Amino acid sequence: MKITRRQRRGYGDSAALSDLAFLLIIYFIVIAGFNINKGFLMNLPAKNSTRFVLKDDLLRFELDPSGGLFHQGEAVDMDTAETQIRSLAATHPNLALVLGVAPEAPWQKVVSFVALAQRLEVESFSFTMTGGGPAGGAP
Amino acid sequence: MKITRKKQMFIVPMNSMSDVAFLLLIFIMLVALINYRREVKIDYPEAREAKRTSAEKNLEIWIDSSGGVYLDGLPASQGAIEQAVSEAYRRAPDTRVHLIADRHTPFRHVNETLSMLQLLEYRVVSFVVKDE
Repeated sequence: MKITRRQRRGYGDSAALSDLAFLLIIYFIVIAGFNINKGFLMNLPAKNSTRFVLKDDLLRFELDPSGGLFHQGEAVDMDTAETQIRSLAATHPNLALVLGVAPEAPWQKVVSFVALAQRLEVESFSFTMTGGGPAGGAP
Repeated sequence: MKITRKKQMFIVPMNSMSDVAFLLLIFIMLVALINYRREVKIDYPEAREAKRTSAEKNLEIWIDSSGGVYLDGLPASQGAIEQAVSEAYRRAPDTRVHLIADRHTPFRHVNETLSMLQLLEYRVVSFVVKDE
């Protein structure tokens, strides 16, 4: 009678499999992390609400249809706007920053200005569509 | 005569390791499916120093560059969005509305949605951006 010895299987074969599984786990964890939204929180004022602001405390900028930023009719860039806001905020603690936005202005320009207002911690910031009611305010 | 015992090499059984790994894999895949969200192909606006705005319950309103509005990734009318926001607010008042608009979207399209949210007296809205 021929006696056959049962062959033992090594453990080495499954090592690569577990490596692959862990790589897939990392992939899915990373994918799950993509669902987090980042942005800016804004407080929307009530429809047709009015607010009284002293003329000296008011700083108004305009965004034209192409996304150009204007202050008192003059074109300004974001850095100039930042300097102007900073200097007025230093002397006027109750500074009210208002952005008038043309209906065709690209959303990116509005978001950039919102980011600037939040970075400078302007408490009273609002934006409005030119010819419409107030759209948003600082949180 | 000194009898020496053959030293056995300690081997970690890797078979069970792969079982654990695959169970973890199935678990994470299921969690990923639960968290699955439909995305609208848009060009995100970019900004620096954006903060994490996701809350426990979120409602996403997408606006593409041509003004098309989507609710949680599916095309919807302003009326449907109005109804969904009211319903979400009634069920969980802490639901956060995220406005995800294409960077090239004309402001008037975004303003329509903002006006609707104002009418519903929905106060805090997140303007979603991508990190610059």
